[in-house]
Amino acid sequence: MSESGPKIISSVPDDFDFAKDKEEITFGHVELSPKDFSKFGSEITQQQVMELSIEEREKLEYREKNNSWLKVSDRRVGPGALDDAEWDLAVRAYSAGYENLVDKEVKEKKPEVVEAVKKYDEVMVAKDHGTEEEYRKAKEELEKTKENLMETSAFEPPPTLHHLDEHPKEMSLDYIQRQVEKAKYQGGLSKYYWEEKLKEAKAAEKEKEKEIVKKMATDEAREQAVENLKQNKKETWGEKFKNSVKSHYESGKEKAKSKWPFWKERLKGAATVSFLEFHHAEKFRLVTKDVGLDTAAQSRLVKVEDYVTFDEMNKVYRKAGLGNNYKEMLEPGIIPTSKETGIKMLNEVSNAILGDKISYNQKLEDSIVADAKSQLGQRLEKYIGTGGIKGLTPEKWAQIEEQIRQSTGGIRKNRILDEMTDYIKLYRQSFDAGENRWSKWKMRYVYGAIELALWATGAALIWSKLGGIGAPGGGPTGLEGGPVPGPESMPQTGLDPMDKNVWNTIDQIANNEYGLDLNNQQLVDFSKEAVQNNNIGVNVWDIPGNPLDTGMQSGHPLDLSSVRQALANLVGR
Amino acid sequence: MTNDETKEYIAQELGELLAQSNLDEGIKQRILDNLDNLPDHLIFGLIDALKQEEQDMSRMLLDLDIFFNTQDQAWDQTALDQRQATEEIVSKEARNIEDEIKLEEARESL
Repeated sequence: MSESGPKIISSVPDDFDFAKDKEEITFGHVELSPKDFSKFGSEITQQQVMELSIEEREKLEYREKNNSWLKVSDRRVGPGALDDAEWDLAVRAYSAGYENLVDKEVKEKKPEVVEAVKKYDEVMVAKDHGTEEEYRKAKEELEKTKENLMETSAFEPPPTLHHLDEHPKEMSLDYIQRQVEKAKYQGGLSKYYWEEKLKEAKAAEKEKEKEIVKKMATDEAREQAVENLKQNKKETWGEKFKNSVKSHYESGKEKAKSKWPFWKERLKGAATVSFLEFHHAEKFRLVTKDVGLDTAAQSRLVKVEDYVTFDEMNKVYRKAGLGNNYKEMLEPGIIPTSKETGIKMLNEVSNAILGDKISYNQKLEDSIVADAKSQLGQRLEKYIGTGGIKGLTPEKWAQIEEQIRQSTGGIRKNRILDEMTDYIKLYRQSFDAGENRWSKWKMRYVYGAIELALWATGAALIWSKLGGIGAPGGGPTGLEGGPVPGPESMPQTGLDPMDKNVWNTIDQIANNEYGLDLNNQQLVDFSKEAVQNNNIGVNVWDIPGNPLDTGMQSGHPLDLSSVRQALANLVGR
Repeated sequence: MTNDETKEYIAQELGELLAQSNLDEGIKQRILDNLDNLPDHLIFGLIDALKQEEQDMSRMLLDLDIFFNTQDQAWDQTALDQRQATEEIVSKEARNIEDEIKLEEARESL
């Protein structure tokens, strides 16, 4: 053992005197000061050292700092731990100069290790039993071996907490495993750290695997659902599934509350300015009590190329079912749809914010006027006479105040107009019925599935209000029609006359000629095929064509040959 | 036939998506009440729609946030413009009054 290095012990001697002994003692390779020992008393064992918390271990000085420590693991139990003979070998090799010895080298009894230990033992033997000369020679041999060992020692900087920044932020399981292997030879804090890291990584990996299993199972169920649909087989998941969704819905509500803090914040005060009106100018008019404002806004908007007039916009919205017409179509009591809720929320938010801004600015105007009067008074101070400020008569001040209020009011009005145009621009970009996000979301996704889901369960028939009157499945196509001419009035061209709308026509043919009661999804699919074959445009499905479905009259000739073929296949003809 | 474990995964996903959806509470309740009758393909349609809704809501919220922030700044500028316009009026009117007073004083001294 090196005389100058710390004293290495494998257990605390019974006669150890903490008060007297100020020397630092090394337990394995964890240095313990007498103070640290005193925390545990003389009963401390290696196991206790291993069980220290990470903070406690940090308090104990890790011997890395002076690089004079054994790099072999201090673990004496469990798989891979050094046994007593190996520990002895490690300690003797360390004393012989093999300072970077690692567990693996001890276990495999690396030739250099064995050689080092042999030289060390020779010195010890010569010291006790040899001559002076033999002892000197043995020491020289040992020194040579030490030098050799220093060169050949497979030293690798240990993975320590001090070098965490050298590790990638994202570490793969393999990478962590390699670090654990390295740390095994270092022991102490590094080992503890990497073992914990490995536990975490394994847990994350397990979670990932679980997600993959979940996804695979869900995908399989989805494929099954598609297959069921193809085979016209209705599979429902029953009461248990319903209750489970309900339970997750209830528990998910709390999570959802924190998801849209923005809305909550912005909706403050919405109750005071609550009206559901799409026409944006109207809301400015109401807030400002300025009847001329919407006219000004419209004339201003007309001048802007990007925009259309409100009338034109309303037409677009009505066509898409977003305007007032849509509301009127719904019977009282029918619940609002998602799109209405969205628009309502948006308008309420905007109204509330704008209302606040206008009212704040109006109050600000009062303070501007008061400031102005005071400034004017100061400027004309020298002209103060017995009757007040000369020249600044009450009439004169009233005139000036009127001028100030007109000016500030005009600036405010311009700001309102600016905000209005910006708002409409935003609305058109994000929420309008053209080719944009809002329409895609509302029309294609939400309507395509949510309302269909409601409809299929008989929970709501909102869409039927938009479809042809009396159409049994006036579904999501919104294919409207007028009076129906009798089929006999159509020339015999191989084409079918449209009966109210495409949806209904297909439904009737399937029923009357093929004895089929098509479900909604089938009708959607067939209708889509039919409109595409006949070059009919359907905005709600983003299908281009001419004429548009909304402009078609009953009796319009339709080529339904491919649909008929599919229907024939379904009944096996 | 989809097994119970898979249905439970799907139930969790659907329940959570519905909870955070912007759909009217009435619509949500109707969907929930009728889930036992809903064909499996529509359950997946519903999940897809709700996922899409969530994505689009996030985008819309971002748009709105930017919009409102821009407007906030514009209103601050409006207040500055109003003050500046008022100062100009005050300055002009003060000059006018001073000129009138000086003229009056000159007239009186003659």
